[in-house]
Amino acid sequence: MSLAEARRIMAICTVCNYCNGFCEMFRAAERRRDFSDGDLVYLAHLCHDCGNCLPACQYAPPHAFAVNVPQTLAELRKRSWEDRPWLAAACVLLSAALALFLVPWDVLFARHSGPGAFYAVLPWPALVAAAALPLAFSLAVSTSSILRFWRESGGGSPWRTLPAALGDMLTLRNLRGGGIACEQGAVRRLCHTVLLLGFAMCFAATVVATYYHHVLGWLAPYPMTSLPVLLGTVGGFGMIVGSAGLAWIKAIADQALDATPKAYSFLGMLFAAAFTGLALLFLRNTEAMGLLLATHLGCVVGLFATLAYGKFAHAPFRMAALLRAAMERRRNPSLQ
Amino acid sequence: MAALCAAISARQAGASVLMAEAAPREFRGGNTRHSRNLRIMHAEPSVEIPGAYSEAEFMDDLAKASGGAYDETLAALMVRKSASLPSWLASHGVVFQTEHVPYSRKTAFFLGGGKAALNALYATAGCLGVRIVYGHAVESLQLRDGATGPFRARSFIACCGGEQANAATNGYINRGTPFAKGEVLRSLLSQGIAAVGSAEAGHLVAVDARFSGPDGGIVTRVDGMEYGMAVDLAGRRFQDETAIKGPTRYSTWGRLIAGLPERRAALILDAAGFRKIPAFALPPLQARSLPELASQLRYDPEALRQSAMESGRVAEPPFFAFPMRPGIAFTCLGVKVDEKARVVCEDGASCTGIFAAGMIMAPNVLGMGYLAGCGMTIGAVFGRIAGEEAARHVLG
Repeated sequence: MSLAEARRIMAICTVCNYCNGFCEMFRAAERRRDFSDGDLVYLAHLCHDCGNCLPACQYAPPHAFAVNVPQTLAELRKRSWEDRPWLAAACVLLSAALALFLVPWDVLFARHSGPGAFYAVLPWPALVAAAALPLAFSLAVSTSSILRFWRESGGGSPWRTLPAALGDMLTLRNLRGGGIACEQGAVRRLCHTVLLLGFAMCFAATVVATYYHHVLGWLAPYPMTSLPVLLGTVGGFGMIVGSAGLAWIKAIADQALDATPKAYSFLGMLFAAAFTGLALLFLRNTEAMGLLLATHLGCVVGLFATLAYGKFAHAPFRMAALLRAAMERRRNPSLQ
Repeated sequence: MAALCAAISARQAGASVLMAEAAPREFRGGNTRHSRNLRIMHAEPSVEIPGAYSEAEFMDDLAKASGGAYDETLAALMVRKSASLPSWLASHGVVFQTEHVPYSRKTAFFLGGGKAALNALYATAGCLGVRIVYGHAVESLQLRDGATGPFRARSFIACCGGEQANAATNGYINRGTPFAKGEVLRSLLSQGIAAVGSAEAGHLVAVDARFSGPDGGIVTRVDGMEYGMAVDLAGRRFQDETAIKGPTRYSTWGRLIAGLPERRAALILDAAGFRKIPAFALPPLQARSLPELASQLRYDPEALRQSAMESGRVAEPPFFAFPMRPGIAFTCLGVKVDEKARVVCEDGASCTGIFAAGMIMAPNVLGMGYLAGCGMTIGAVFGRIAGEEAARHVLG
């Protein structure tokens, strides 16, 4: 249904073409006359959902042609992933429950301090396995779906256009609306960047901590002024601010941003992971540490397990779509 | 476009302004919703428009388009005043597009098209304190006291376009706004205001007959006749398709189809021709053989076969067909105005306090012709003049 509707609408858009100054999506559509399923999915992922084309559209509902590009492409995008909030929630609950059942309570609710304090509650191999297995699973699923996306949208080698596309990925140029400021566009870009940077810093914190652990033989928890803790703290606050901001924009936006309860699950998981991480940091010298550690681990596991099944998946698809758009611009310089 | 420029100009000059819009909010702004660009005289490139387009060249294009049937003084006024439009519109929120559009030194493009420009102008007008009532069609205007429905304004500016919404009865498809019914135009003419242009003339193009409703705008046009053959209801060709070229091809085909029985035709393409035509909004009818296509169209298969032979461009299956009818964007009957945009009586006297701008007075400048982007320019230039003059009339 959404493919047929997207095909009907894209046919109208390519002939009208008044919106081609707004973003790469319209300029990519302009290069086509026929739209394969793969083309349509590519265009859907190229849309950054700035919403500018809807109020500008002479055919927008209630016009008989009922052209609603942002909504149609958003529905098509959602076919590339299925939000599974229950899976994420189950991971959090299961992790806490397992800790409650398997760890003796005099250990779980004791005060621990000094190197190895975390591992006194949850053994290091269990921690690593709990995080690594779902991550590996998600990476495998994502890789396979991105490869399929790439094949069905035309294939080809993207490496030479990577630098050009990288700029589009990082600056969210296509969320700027091409000259007409879109509703909350600047705030959305800022929140997204803060969230992304926060996520990257938390990830970096993990990498540095792994280096400390394996190479230097320093066991966590690390001091407040150590690099992993500083990165994690700043990153955690960034994730909290960014995810809360994006959820707030979603809730108040006029345009067709997906605001169903399911659509909040990825933002909710990011918020929960950051929030429990910071809580763990500030309460690590108290009796609450054990259960907080298990809950934080559950959030991370839930996040990792649903990477391929939720809004996170928009990132690899969007990057692949921007790569393809950059490749097409390179091939058709006249249409730039 | 005309109404917004008039309202903003009058308000900025200190008048209190009420805009009565016949359409509901979603369909506000008349045919401007379907437009993309406006024609601008300029001596050098600017941020809004590249190259240069001289006054003489613009006047030449107008003379050609109108066939000389225009008021040269008003045309020259419009051409000169067009130069300040991009910066004036930009300062009132309109954003222009210079990248990713075909190179055009004669016209400036609205980013996002006419509706985006309208949205910006409506927002500006609202901020300035122009009151806007939607869904309020003005049925008539009393020249004696300026009364119109419940309103008694001290000055009145008519910006309500042509009367193309009534053209469906003549076998045309109205591509433009369904709210241009010409009530005010007819009301003015019936009270002795001089007419310009002709009710019989209009801007026609060939449109896909399957889009039979009004308001289809640009996407309903059919293009690519030179890659196939155009046939009438009897399945016969009526024109050398390859002889019609250039940007005026749309209107040439519109006029040709309007002259056919039942004002209907079809574009027939074979597989090779189909690959060459530009993008279309609605997939064509398709058949594996010409007789099968003829039966889909309810045409005589023998006549279609003969036409295909004769054209020499329709041979390779599968075959495709776009049914066509003439689509009308605007009619060419208007009221005569003077250089202050005041309407002019049949005796040549200008009416003080009653103004007209936009397509309702466009035949003064365009005659019964069409020039891409000129409708917008007429609307904006005479809208501004009318707004300023109306405010001067009211405020003394």
